[in-house]
Amino acid sequence: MKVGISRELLAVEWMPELIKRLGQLAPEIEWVHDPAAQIHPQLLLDGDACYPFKKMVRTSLSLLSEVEVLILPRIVSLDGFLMCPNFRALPDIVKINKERTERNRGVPLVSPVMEVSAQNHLEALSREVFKALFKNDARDHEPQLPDNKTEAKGLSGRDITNSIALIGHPYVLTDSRLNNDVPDILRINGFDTVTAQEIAFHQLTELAESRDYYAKKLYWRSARETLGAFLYFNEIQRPAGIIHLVPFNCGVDALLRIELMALHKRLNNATPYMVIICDEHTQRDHVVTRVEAFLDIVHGIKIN
Amino acid sequence: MKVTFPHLGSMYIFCKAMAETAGIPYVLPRPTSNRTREIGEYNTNESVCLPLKIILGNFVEALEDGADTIVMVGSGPPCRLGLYDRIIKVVLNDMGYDFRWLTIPGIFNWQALLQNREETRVLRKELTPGNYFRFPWAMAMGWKKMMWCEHLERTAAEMRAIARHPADVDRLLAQGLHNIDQAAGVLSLSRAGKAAVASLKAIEKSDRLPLRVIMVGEVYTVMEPSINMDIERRLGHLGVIVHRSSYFSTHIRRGSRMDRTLLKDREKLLKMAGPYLNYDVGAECNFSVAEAVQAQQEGYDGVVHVYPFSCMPETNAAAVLSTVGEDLNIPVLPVVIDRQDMGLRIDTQLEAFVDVMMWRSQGRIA
Repeated sequence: MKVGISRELLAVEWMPELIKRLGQLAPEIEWVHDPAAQIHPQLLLDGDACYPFKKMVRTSLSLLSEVEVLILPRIVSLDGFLMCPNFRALPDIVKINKERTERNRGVPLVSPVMEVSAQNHLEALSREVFKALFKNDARDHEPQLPDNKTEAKGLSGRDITNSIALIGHPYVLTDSRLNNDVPDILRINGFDTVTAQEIAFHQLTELAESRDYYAKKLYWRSARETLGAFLYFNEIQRPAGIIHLVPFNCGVDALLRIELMALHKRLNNATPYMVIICDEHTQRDHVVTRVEAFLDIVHGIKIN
Repeated sequence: MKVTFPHLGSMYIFCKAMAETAGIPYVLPRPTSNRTREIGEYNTNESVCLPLKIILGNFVEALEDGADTIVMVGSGPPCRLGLYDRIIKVVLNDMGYDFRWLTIPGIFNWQALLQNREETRVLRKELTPGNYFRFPWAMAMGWKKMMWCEHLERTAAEMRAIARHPADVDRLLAQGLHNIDQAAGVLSLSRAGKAAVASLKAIEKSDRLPLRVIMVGEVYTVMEPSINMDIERRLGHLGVIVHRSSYFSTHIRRGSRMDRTLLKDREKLLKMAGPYLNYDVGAECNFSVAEAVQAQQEGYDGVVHVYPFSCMPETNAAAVLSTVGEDLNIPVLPVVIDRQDMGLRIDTQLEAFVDVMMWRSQGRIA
């Protein structure tokens, strides 16, 4: 059975585990993440949704002509914190667009609500998806997942002084179309990269907690990850610089940028920090120029 | 202590009445102007939604005028409104202002109560027993004034569309709101309210048949004319009665969870949006969709969907509403508001929209 999940969603926390578990429960699934050809349907979306969201919608719609079923979880919360409201609406937006196109109306969408913060939630979700795919319950003798999720290895013991830390949404950091190839540009300029996703989330959210004030808790998971990483790369392990990769019009990052900028001004001897709004650049050269200017500052600090 | 609060339609009359009746000194923020917007724009970034920028501008101007304590209504997840107070505090601190902050919790839980206790620790010492004693009466007076304001605004929306000279309605509304604001007691308030409504109803009428639209969308944009470019007035001048989805009292009643009917209505609306949105996206998204469906069922001529550029829930509502309009054959006008907006652009959009609704009502187009 050919089952599709858009490539962009694979970067979201817990999604690789979901796919792995579904693969264990149903080895006959053949996964498709990248459509052979991107279709360009007339989307209902108007202009001000963020580019990653539009790309998720387009990839999902393109996959419809190549799969038997499309899995599009309604990702509400992960690790006890919320995702942005767009993830709640994503399956509906894809469904409405799908119904407007003549082709692929018959391909079913499987859109379970995804609220995962522990392995047993993931197990339940996997079985729910299995049931939706095969119309029967998964067999009980399949191997169970371990009780604890495999956490990110962390960066301790690793020299990151010649690295640039990249912070932002995981789907932006991993997709060269969304991040304007910044990781590649940095490598060409002689810098390694480290990301927030290499550090355990519980460590990042603990750092972010220092900025919470009673009910005024940052409730989005990605915001906590980014804020925690910003603090980590300033206070615990110091890279050569921090670049915050932001999609234009991202509501979560719009607020977070204000907090990070203010925080950066107050820190003594803060790690150099720059924001790149990825889709405000139309050519790679624009991004190269910005990254080079930032690296000049980084070099200047090293020399001094 | 000098308290201030943001502008939100005629909410300032409610806040002012409360402060005056309870004997708490206050600073009324200046009317929102281009400068107010610019303060917000220069001290945030391009992707921050317009309400945050304007509220920030209101606070900066009030602090410049001597306020030292900011009172802000809180909200919850998942949209950005729930973090406005956190972020505005960060910006004001960064700008070097010295102020105290009090969030009126939008959601009552232990965290909110503890926060309230912490925030009012110093304020409580500055309040006199007289302030406390008069507070229930201040609440009642504020509420009565707000109800009169909203009644007057609803009447003005009806009358503007059929007035021979719609500008007269604007003048009478402004005068009526001023008189309500100035009323010092319940009797004088009642007299001022009744007189204002009567004067509005007595205006010279034209013989044109008004169109009816519902204005849905992000609450702040629906309620604050300086943000929505005064769409309600502009449409009124074109012969359209505008029914707003949100009034300040609606939010207080909903937030306090006292009014069961209102809560049941919300549940009903969520179900109404069900064919398009299967899950509560957050803020007003599902309600914008549901209210448009309801408007079609109730025979409205169109739907105006207003929201600030980059608003996460309403961006999804806009996508869904474009299909609702097609499915239910009702014109939907999305108006995305940001700093680039000019009255003339909005006028052109509204005129075209009114033409479409008028031709449809006359049977000239399907």
